[in-house]
Amino acid sequence: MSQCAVVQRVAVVVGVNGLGQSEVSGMLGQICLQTLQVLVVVLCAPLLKGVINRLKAIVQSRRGPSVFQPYYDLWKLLHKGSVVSEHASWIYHAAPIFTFVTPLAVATLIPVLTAYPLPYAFMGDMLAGGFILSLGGFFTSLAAMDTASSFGGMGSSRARTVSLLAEPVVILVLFTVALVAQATIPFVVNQTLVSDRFLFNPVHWLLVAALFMVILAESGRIPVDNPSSTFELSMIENSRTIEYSGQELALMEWGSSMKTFVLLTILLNVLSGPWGLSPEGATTPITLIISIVALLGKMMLVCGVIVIIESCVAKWRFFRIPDFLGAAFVLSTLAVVAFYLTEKGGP
Amino acid sequence: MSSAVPPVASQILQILGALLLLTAFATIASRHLVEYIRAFAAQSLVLAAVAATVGYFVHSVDLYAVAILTVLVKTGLITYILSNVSRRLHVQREVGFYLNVPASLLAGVLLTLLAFFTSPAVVSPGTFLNEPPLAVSVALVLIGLFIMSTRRHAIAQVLGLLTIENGLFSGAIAIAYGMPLIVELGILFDIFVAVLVMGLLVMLIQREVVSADTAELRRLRG
Repeated sequence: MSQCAVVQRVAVVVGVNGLGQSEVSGMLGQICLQTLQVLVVVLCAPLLKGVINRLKAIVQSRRGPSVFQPYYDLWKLLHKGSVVSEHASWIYHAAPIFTFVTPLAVATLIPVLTAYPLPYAFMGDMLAGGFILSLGGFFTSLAAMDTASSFGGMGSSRARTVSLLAEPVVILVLFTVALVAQATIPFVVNQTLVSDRFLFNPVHWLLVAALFMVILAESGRIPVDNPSSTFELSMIENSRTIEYSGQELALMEWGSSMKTFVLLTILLNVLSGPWGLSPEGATTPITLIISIVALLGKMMLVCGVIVIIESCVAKWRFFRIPDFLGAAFVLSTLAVVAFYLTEKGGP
Repeated sequence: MSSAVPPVASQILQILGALLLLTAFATIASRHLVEYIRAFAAQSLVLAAVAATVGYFVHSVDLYAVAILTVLVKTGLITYILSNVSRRLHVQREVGFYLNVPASLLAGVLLTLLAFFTSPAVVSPGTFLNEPPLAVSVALVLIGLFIMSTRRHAIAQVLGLLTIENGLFSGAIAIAYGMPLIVELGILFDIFVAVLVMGLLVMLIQREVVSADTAELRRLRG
């Protein structure tokens, strides 16, 4: 139901762009595709949160808010004025912009809709994507300390601790991917990982599991952080934006949901199942719609997994987070071991 | 028995080998006795699957029998006894450590690497299905030893011993396509009795020292 609405909206965009021609190609076509790719990320990202909240409510035998609630919230926030501390410096005002823009920059580097690289895809590889995303987090942490509120400082310190622990896992996953695929360009990596040699190889799935755990930690989901917590002392992600209001808060929330969307796209379209992407040379508005539906469908599956995890597990104590990310580290190390083990003697 | 191994077999065995390692790491990462016992049950199930797979590809009826017996004795009886014992130890469900969980996980990774780098040197290539199963078995043995030496709870130490046994069992399958059925039967019965006796012993320790923590057993009594 929710997917249909989004598809319709995007279909309008595609219909305008691909008017009259069956194949989207040429300079103009490439520009349209690149824009569409970013638009999909911008417009579909809040849906994730809505779907997760709705599914969670259903699991808890409540009716829950509509899946479009995050859109209504953003609309409301965008029409409100903001209250800013008089001690806030330019960093405070720059952080929402960085949070909003960095996921968009990464979205141009990864296969969101097309199986082949678009012109901007060669600006950077997966490592660059990771660094660009962490730039947003860096500014959020600075901004939280900028107004010298005690909760912001605590939140920044905790968020940095989590990122510090997640960093080695991310690096190891990326290096293992580079080792397996002999490349760090996402468009090459996804083809290698689903080739016959690696589709059912333990290496592949250990990497997917490790990256999924890191994404849970980085986007503040349940074993690490409770996204719906209203208790300031236990917050990690939320306490960093606690000083923001109005339009800047809207940008912050939208940006963080886009970050989650981009991370999940990397997990789905690069590491685990790049199925349904528009093929090179045959990209028509119809294949693009199929790509969007496929992406959202896969996202819904992951949302289901997240909901199951969040309904079964309570938030862990802060000092047990090293256990969680330590387990992710072990998984990625085992992936390296498994690679040397299964590929010995191979090319 | 150096017949060519079909690629499907080696792929299935690789996945099962990875699962075996994962269950071993799940044991290292657990804090509660219940989690230890669950991880052991899962490990024995995967082991039975390994036995059945190898049995299918080398056409050995013995290995099927061994797989069924493993499920019955290890995931059934032994798990039942251990969870029964741990339920009666009302006082202590949480396991004490000499080394905390993240450090243990890293140590486990190092032990696994050691196993992977040493095991190809032990056996000449081509005499068994392929190298991963043997490396995984060696890793299981080392991890079991590690659990026995760094966990203070008596039941956790019993589970370390059982992990070592699982490692030996899968090693036997990897190298020699399993031992004769009569030997396997003897071993399974042996562990069964051992777990029974150890369970009773843990209950006695608990009654005497009011704890199943082996660190409390320091004084010799005449």
